[in-house]
Amino acid sequence: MARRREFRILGMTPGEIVKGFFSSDVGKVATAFFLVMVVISIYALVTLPPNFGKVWNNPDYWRLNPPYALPSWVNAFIGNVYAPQVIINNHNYVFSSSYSGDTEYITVYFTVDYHYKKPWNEIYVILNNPVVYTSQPPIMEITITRPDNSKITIGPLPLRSKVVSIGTTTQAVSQLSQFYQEYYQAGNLITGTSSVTPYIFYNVTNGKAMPLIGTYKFQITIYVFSSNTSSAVTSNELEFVFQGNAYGLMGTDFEGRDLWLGLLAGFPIDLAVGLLSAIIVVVISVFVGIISAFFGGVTDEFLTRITDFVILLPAFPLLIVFSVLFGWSIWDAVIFLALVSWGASARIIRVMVMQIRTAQYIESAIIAGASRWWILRNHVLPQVIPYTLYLLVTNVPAAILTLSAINFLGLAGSELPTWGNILYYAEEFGALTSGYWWWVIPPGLLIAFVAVVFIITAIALEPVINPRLRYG
Amino acid sequence: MSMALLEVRNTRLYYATTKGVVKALDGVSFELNEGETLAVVGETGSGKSTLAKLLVRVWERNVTLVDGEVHLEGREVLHMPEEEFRREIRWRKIAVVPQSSMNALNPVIKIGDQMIEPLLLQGTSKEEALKMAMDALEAVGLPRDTVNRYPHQLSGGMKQRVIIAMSIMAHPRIVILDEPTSALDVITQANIMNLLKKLKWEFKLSYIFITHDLALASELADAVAIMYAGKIVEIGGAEDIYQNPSHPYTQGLVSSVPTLRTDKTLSFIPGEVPSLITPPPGCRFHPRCPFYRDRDYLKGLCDAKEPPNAEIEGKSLRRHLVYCWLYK
Repeated sequence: MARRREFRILGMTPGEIVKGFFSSDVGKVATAFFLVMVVISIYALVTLPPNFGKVWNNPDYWRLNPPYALPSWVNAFIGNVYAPQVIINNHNYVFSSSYSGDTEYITVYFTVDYHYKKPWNEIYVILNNPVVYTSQPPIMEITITRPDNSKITIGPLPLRSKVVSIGTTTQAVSQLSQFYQEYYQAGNLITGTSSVTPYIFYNVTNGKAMPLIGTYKFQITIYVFSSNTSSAVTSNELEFVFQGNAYGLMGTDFEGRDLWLGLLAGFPIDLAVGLLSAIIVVVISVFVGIISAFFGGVTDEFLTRITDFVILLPAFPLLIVFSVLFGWSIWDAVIFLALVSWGASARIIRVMVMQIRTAQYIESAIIAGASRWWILRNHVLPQVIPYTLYLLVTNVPAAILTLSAINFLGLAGSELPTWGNILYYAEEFGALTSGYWWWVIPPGLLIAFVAVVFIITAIALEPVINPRLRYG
Repeated sequence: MSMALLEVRNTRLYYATTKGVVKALDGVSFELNEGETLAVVGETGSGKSTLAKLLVRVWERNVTLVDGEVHLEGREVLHMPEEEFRREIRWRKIAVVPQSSMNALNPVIKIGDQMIEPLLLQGTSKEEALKMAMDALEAVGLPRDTVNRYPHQLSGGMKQRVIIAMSIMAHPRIVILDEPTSALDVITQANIMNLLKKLKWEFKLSYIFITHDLALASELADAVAIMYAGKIVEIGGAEDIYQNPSHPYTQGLVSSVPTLRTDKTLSFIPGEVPSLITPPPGCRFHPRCPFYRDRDYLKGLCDAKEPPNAEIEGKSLRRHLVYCWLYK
């Protein structure tokens, strides 16, 4: 007789398991969300630099970005209020250079469309050639032709460092006030305590500065003196950044950090945190649960007391105290959390195994001469293993939520941009009272989202794991 | 006297509990002949299942005393080494269909793998064991490919058949049926009873049929032993017991069996089963016995001395023995 060899788990073929999982709408939704999560995590790992944690905590990296900037898509709903961040580089401008003696003349020409209510805060000139600006600084002159054909000239400005902000230079302040005085007889509008860049984009009606909408032409000339090498400044090294009031997909935080990147980086970190913790919990609890139920006696007593102790340990307060005392990283916190939260799972496994152990088929196996290992392998493990999968899935959101809470308190893991960490800074800098909703809602929603995905995955797994739901 | 297939002599089995020693079996003796079915009938807690456990030597860890002799085909098996008993006797000579056999199957393992487990552990090869399992399944009226099924794919009656197939798989001489139909509906019960009759004839089995159901026992039994509080109180051929129940307890049992269609007031035995830790002195039934209550000459007899065994005249070949002071 040809006996069909079948691979089955819990009496179900893989096909049946998949069918059971997808038979409910919950299963389909869970899978879709899960895939979204995994795809985003992979995308984040691929696109973000591996040292993103360092980059995130380096304020220099973000200083060209506007702090507290709204997401730029907000403009689509409220009608072009906030000028978004604009970067002008060699793709956007016309670059030419010529020589006269040992002086290089560089001209750069570009246009910017302005049709917002709040103009750019600042214009940065970035020159990435240390050799040039450390010996004798190049001189720059900017001529701006405005939509009403008026011209503003700023300069000459020495470029002494990599980044020069135009709006705070004395030249800009004096030249703009002169321009306003001549043109609108309103030189007193410009005070010079902060950047005067916005005034490039204003005109004056009834004594008030109003945005002047249209295309602005920028003509920039840079003189590089005594440059021994030819083409001392190439187009690759020159960049202009218009710092806006709106930034990217998710806006920025108090340091101008791009929250989109922060949220993106949070995906793989939170998944890793949740999975690592859940795996440790499951491994320990299966181990302890099986040993304690299976060997009974003193072993059981001892392990049960330890389990009791672990269940009673106040994990969260301890996590807070130790994080403060030892300055733990997020991974230390994950491992600690796993080590103090396996109690309940171990107890469940122990009870499960105890129930299995007293079943009649185990008794039959024992009197048939089965060894402990035989019973463990043939009777106990096949029933326990599927349940551990369920435990794994339910333990992930718990770990993510706890670690987000710990990060929210500013502990364990400020070195990485976790969602909890983003929320910590949001709280610290009064995001809620100041109405920076884009800084608070997305990370909060994402934490909830990941937790919900794992929970509905668990719900969808239930008919697969629990035979009673199948026997029907 | 011809050599009986199974001879149980004065066996005792005591458990230690925190409240004291439970005398679950206290001096039980009987014989089982080739091809015979002995029904062991008694209330819950009378020691029927303990008797089954004693015969296959599967007792709980808190046993304090196992005493007496059990001869199987002339060979003493109660005190032989466990390993020898496991390899040669259990399943091969004497098998058991456990009580609550509905729960006797592991829900996540294929029927075939569960059935062959004891054979594999005895050293039979997997192919041979599987063939034996399939033959046994066929004998109980299940398709051979049931070996590839899981318990949850079977109905209650089918599971019971699987358990019975397991017990006859290694062709034992004696099968102990410990309430084999207690969890089944009457139709399935009737089916199983017919199956048991067929198997008995086909495999030349002897049964020890443990039940609390006197009516059900009559279906299968050639001989009946009535147990009360760890002792056999009456034993004899089936017709003798049913037609001439002699022990007051047996009489009580028989008159408490309901009958179909006839209007009969069901009687019951007042009182309850005594504690096996401190059983009543003398006859263990005397606190509930109507004769002891009514007849003064029994006072000082039943409540003091162990009742003697008296032989009652009967129709069957088997001796009809009753342990009661009434027949002295």
